[in-house]
Amino acid sequence: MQTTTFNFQIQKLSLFLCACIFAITVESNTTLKVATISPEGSALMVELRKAADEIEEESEGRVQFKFYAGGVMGDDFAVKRKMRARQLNGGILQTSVFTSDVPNLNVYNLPMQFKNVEEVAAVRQEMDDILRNELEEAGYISFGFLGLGLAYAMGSKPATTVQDTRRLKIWVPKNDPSTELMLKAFGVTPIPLSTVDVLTGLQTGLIDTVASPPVAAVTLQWHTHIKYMLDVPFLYVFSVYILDQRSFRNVGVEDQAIVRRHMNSAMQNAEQRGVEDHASAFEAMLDEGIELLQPDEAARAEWQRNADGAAEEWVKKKLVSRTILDQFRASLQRARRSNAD
Amino acid sequence: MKCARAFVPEVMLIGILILSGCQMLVSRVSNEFAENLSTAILNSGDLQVVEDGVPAYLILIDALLQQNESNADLTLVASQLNGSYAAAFVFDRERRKSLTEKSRKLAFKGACLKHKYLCEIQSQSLDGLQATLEQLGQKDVEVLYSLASAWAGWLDAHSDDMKAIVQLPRVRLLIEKMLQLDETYDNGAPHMYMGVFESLTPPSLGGRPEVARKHFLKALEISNSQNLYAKVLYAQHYARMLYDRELHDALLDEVLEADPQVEGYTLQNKIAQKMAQELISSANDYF
Repeated sequence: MQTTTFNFQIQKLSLFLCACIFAITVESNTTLKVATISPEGSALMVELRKAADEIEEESEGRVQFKFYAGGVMGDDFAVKRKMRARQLNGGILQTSVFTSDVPNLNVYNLPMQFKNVEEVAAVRQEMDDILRNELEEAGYISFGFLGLGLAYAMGSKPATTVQDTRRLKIWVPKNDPSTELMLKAFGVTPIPLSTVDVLTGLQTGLIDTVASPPVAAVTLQWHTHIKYMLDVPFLYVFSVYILDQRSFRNVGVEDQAIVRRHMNSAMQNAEQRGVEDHASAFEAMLDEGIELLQPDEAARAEWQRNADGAAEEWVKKKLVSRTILDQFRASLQRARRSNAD
Repeated sequence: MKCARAFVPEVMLIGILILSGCQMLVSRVSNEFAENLSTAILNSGDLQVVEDGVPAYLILIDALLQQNESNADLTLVASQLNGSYAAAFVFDRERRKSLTEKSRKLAFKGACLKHKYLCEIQSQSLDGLQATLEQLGQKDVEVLYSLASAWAGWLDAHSDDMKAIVQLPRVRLLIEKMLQLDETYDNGAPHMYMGVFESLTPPSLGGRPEVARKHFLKALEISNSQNLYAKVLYAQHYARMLYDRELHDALLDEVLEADPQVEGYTLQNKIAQKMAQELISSANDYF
């Protein structure tokens, strides 16, 4: 009897403790630590800090953010490892970091599928949610994607055909399977270098060509060693804002909604600014005297043939699913019809 | 990755610039008055008085420029006054853009009036600009500094514009030339500029923080650590980029504990202390 009463008391105590722990979990303050390679002062960081202030105010201090900008927590793969070790709760990272969890993120990286940023915007409007849902199923909370723009081949030597390009010393970021895959589609053997070494590589001639969005080339001053840019948008470069699901569960349900609303909005604002910067940086490079090379019709067709072949290859290698590729192509066709109208 | 505001410096030495500006402007009227006025501004410990008072001189100098269109010194003084006032006291983005645009245009015009070979520097390629700068000598340090500070101030105000950011290498060339001609100019300001430039790109993207640190330390050495502005920028750009809270707070504490009353530097030091206070207030949010 005494044992039963004792067990009953223990059960009550356990329930009480559980209730307390639950209360502490949802009511206590949570600080979410988020890292990115984007530098402090960038449009992204300005928007994130603004959103964090609004979240802190609206949640009455229950949810706070700490940001680590400029890659101070290591490269994007290191940030992911730190997220697993619970040293960080999230990051705004290149999507290739998560393609092992969600291969379909590769779909926007298919080479030479987007002709311009308008097509990107139209397709993303239809497909972002699909990819975000896949990320959530894989255990991540996503506040959306952030495009850095379309990457162009640019360098100190002119090349307009696939054959000529294969003779160039083309940089590929270390640990960036998306760009490497893209270049392989054209039979290019790139030179892997850390981003830190690109400027020196261009100065010393270790590399003579980069495939980069104009925004990155201008911001990192690579443009000072570039004379030619091929007017072929090779690759769409974008990042994703991820929070670890376990960390996010520590935030109360109502506060989760507040966080989602403000962070989604921050990403949309940064995205808008990014689209403007992309166009402006492209023009700025031309203003600097960089020559925009136009491949002739045959050369352009050859580029496209190689690129289209890559899409099927990626399906075979399970880098993207057939379903998502079909959805992507249908969406792109709709965007083109709409733009044509 | 854009880097927008992070990619441009916030370096204006209002006190020094106002001093030189006022000296050159008013000396045409009265040398004695110029000395007294510039000394008064530079040693003013009341930022509000200077903030309220300088606009009157901006209007006055505009009027004088209308009568002296080909006066290079006056044009450069006008550039410095507009740029310095914008950097120190104007926080409305559009107004700041407008004032720094005016400052830069005046600097280009003043430089052109000084030397014909400087007339095209705005549109020159990097290589062309480098070749042009080779022609400058010791006697040209003032015009070079006017150009560099006006262009840097313009860049800071337009840091949300990729077409401005693309010009950063040009401003760097000017400052590098300053370092070559006179690294001690304006209390080590060329080193301070370079410290900021080298802090713009984080090491993960190819930045060179160790070089930034050397430049900041050199600026402090040249100024005998009396350049509180250099300490503030060291904290704001270098320590924050590296998330070095200890260094950040130590530098700013030193700035706040320092006596701002230093002959010729009081106004500048007061501005530095105001900035230091703001940085300390926002440190918990940042780190």
